[in-house]
Amino acid sequence: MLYGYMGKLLFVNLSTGEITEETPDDSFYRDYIGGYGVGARILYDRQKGGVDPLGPENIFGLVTGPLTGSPAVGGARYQAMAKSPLTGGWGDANSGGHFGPTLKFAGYDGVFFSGISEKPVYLFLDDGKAELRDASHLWGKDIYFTEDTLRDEHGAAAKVVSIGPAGEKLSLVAGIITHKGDAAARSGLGAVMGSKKLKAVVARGNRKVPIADMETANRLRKEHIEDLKEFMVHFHEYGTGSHGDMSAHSGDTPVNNWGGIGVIDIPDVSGLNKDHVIANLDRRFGCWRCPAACKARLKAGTGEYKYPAGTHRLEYETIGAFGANCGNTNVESINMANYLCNAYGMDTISAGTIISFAMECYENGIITRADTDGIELNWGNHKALVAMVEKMVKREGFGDVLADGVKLAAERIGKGAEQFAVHAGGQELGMHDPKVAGHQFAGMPSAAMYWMNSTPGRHTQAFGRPSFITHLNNAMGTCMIIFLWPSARGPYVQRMMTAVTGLDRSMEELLRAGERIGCMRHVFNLREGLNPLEHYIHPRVYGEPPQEDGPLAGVTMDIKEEAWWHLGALDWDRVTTIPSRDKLLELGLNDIAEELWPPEKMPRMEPPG
Amino acid sequence: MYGLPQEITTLREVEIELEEGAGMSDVFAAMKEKIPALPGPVIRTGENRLEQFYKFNINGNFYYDGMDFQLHSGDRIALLVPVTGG
Repeated sequence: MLYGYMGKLLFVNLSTGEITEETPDDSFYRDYIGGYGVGARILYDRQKGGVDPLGPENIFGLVTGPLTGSPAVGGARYQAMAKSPLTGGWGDANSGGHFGPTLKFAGYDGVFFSGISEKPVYLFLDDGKAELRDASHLWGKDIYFTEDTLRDEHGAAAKVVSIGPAGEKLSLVAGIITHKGDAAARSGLGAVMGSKKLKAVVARGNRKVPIADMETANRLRKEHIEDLKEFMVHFHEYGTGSHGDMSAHSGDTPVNNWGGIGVIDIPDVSGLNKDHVIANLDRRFGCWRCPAACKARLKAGTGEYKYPAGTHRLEYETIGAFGANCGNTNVESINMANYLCNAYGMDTISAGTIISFAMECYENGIITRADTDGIELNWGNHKALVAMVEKMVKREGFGDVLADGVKLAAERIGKGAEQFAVHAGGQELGMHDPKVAGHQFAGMPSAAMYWMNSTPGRHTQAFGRPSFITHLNNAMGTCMIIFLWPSARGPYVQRMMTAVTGLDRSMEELLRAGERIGCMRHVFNLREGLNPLEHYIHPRVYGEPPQEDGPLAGVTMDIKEEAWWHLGALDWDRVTTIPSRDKLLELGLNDIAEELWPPEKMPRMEPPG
Repeated sequence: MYGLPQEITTLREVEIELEEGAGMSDVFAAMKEKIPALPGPVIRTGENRLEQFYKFNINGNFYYDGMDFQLHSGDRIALLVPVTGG
């Protein structure tokens, strides 16, 4: 038996109400680890290509990893996955908090949903029992109300993931929220839950995650915490939001919808300084058993913006998206926008990028006050920014035009708006300008990563060989920042996986699992008819034309060259991107090799003469 | 200087005089003299080498520790940190 797993996956058919448990073989967990590794294999096997992402056949999953709920530092994450309604291809998102570990304490490694419920429901997982319950009293309500109500019904030990009105109204940039602000927000998976009338999943339980060698796991945890001590001081103090000002000027944060230059367009970025970000802080807290505790709650806003007490302290991505990328340095307005997105369940990266897109359309006369319900969307107008975010999360007025991401908004607006729709493959990009890293093949972010990733626009997953470790991390259920960077890479991943699962695997073997997982996500997309080389990516992202001033002056990335090298290293065809038969066999994906390389497609040498 | 280098030095720009064809070590020597805050956090103490992650952008091309260049009149040189997390 493999340790680290609860050994059970749950399958819920929302159309019929049928709930079934399955016990996967050890080899399944060994090969796909967990998280979206398990998810990619399940979705590939159990749904057809070409299904409507908002239809009954799309399978939506929430899956933990072997290190979720284990002594591993940062082992607090779960992954959500489904076909993305935003990109039309593979979609995943993940979050920390307490839900992931509690899902395991309730007895399950993961739960998958198919079908569409007739009426709103939530799934209640209670110490080995699963039950669909009526959620009519929660439908239409925000995340705060939903979490409070479900906590009152099931007690504080019950942990909730839910969608807000944005997901219910099928906003394609809607996310899934836990703890009123920890978001699995990318890929539009909130809309998938909304389409299924699945309001929430509640988990509660006291089961223990079986650990093969608890003594070693605890010792490794102690060592790791010791290693991280210096890093954690700063991280605990500010979280990820400590460099919004510096990044706005270094070229890291995109400025004015990826078209501006920080030092020129927003010369004074002092409003984004870390001390402003924590100015209204109430108390710090962390994910389950995390010694870094990089999160914090704010006191109620008392100035111009009246966000409620408990609003989460800003993460870097949110500061970037609603800050420099909108020409905005007013942190209180970003706190308010963050609250609205968390309460209504919308991705702050996409939402901020949509506002910056609308601002650029407004500045260029493509839209006017007559279109925007009287809101003057000039660069840096933070009042307008908050007003439009409120309309967007509620799908009111012009907000309804914007609420499905920049690609669709541009199509709806017309008049050349698509020139300002900055996205990759349909999804708005993370707030790190890849030009600042140049051709950093072994690192991230890179323009090819934004372009070629199976969930394009993502800033945390890398592409090519550097992605193996990130896929592994996401499958293990660990935190990218606290577990993976950088001290964990060598010593802890392999040793902790061995101590927890009891399977003594080399780092090479674990990375091969990461490669296998990346390959499964990719073949899922191939079946959808998607070739990442055909993804759209806005030319501003790779510097075409290059900026004329500032830190990135003159920088243009050759993303095709970068992709060419990556594809070669992956042994994927450089035109079709189909993995070679040898590669698929090497990864043990023999069934996929047969599908993609049937005898008639195999290269043949003509006989001489 | 952009981002962290600017935060450390509190300077956006600095003027230094260099010979035609100056390389990375010449730039360091001149910068260290002009900006005492750079050795340590940005330039390795006692060495003419950039700390890990820092780099120069010269006319759109990046130069990291261990690389060299030759500057010519009119070149634009910027010192920046490649990426921060979040």
